[in-house]
Amino acid sequence: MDAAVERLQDLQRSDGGWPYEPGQATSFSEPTCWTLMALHSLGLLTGATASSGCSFLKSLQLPDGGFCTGTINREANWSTALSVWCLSILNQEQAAAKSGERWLLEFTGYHWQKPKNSPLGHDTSIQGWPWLRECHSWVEPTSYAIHALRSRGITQHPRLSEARRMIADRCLPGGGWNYGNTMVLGNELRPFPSTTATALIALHGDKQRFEQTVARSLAYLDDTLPRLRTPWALGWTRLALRCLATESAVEAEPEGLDEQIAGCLVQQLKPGARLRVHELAISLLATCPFRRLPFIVAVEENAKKVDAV
Amino acid sequence: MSKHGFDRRTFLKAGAAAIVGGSAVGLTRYAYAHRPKVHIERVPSYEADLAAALRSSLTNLGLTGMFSGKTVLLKPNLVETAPWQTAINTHPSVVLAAATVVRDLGAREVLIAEGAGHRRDSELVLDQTGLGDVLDAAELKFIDLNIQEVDARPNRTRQTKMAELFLPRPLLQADVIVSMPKLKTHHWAGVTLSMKNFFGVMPGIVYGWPKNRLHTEGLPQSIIDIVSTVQPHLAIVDGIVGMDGDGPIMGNPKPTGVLVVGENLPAVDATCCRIMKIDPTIVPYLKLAAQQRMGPLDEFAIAQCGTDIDQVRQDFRVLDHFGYIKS
Repeated sequence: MDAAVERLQDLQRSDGGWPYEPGQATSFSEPTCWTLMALHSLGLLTGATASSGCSFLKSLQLPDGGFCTGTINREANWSTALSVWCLSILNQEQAAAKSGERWLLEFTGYHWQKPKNSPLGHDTSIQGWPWLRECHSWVEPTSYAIHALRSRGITQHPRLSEARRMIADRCLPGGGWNYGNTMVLGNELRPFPSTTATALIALHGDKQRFEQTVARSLAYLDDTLPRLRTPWALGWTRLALRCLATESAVEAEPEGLDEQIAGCLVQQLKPGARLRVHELAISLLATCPFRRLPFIVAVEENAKKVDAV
Repeated sequence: MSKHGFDRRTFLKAGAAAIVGGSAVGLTRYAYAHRPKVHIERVPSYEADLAAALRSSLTNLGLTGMFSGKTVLLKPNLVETAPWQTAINTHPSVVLAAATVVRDLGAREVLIAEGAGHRRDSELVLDQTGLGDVLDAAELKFIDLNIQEVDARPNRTRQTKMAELFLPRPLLQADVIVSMPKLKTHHWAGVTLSMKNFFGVMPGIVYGWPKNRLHTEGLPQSIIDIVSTVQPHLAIVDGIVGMDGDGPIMGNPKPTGVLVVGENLPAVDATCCRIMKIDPTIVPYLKLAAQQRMGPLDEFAIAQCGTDIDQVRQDFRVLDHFGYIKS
């Protein structure tokens, strides 16, 4: 793990951000957010690194409060949720986080009343968050937005409630989630591990309301886990199991999971491996002590900080 | 005279106009004064000598010299994975064979690049399809086009509202771009072949997943804008096992036993359609490609070589709402 942390630290660029891959000459919001949150959760984030990383994130903020992905395409989008979440967890640039929060609450997307003959299985009218303006809501950006708002101490907003309803509505009949389509033209689509995990974490804390959805999706993850060996899928699955354990939906993590994660970290650091910063950061985050995961800290601790802004 | 009232004389006039019109909008690679060649090679299975089959195709097309000293980007179609389902993604053996042949023909560098449309987790797709192991063993570099640095390029055809397209830098820096799709029907586009495959070069960090912005802009229009702006050089279609019905992911495997190769992508896709018993002239995106003079669709306008279409033709089922494209 030390080598992985060191590698992540080494990859910070002079502008304070992180690239998606070693060798890229540009920093992006996503790898920067995951790296900062992973190092913070591990207790290994120095003040200087946090400050320069968050300054980079702030440099991606547009006048309307939204954040963009990188320096070339200056369009506020899904990166706003990750940036607001990260700044709140790290308690940095709180004015920027506040305006990002406002932007997020106004950022909707394209939704419509489903006609009777619609080829789509899900309820297209329920609003979550899209990747981009004028697009439909999908599971992953909605999950990130939920965490971002919770990290701001917002736990009762109507948008949060509707977003969780949207995520539950997008659960596949057989359990699990993909990017956000359930049935298309009468065929049930297939779930993915990482989106299932992000969705489960987003529903965390509302066990009674979503009990059946969570139970059948956990069954999918349990079945899939032994065959996973890649960082994003494995890391997210572990994070979901850890979060859900607090609601007693999961009694214990499967045996051998630590070894799976460790093997995955080693694999990513091998010479010639396809190392991606956000994937390495999620792998590391998955090794964090439960109480330090940003999903939990967000709810329990950050509400107080936000009040002070 | 074709059934669409487009005879050879008219075609030649249109072709000549295309050279002028094409140049005017920067479509010179697709302007055609002659019948573009499309080669069909019969290949019974993925265990066959695929490299030999591809060499034969390229030799017949006179294209063996196009890779020497060049950086070649091979763009397979990787969407998502499913147990026991081999018809969704371009088969690893076809990708390996193409890389091997291109290397043998003198390429300076061969890159395998894709920005998967459904799964952000490209590493999982590589792992579950077996392509990751194949690439590692052959020391081939994979580039996830969803997360690369991007540069803006003017949209050449403006069929969508997008004034510029943000394209991944490795794609823009490649000398030769090869589309390597699967032979499939598609529930929204009718078919997905060498042109639709270019949705995968559009970075998810800019266009979202499942490349949502492109769907809202219109599928046929987005396909035309992307291909005309990227200007790919070659198509190699994996039709050894295709997919019919509810493609691109939920359909049925359709063993067809062909590799289809050619430089002009609309002509390649039109030929693939004929193999699938689909009329290319009424597939919406191909119709638009022809209107934009990117390539010919009529059979007489394409120089077919290798195996005859009739010898490999299969009845690919389409969903009811695309029943009208069946020939």
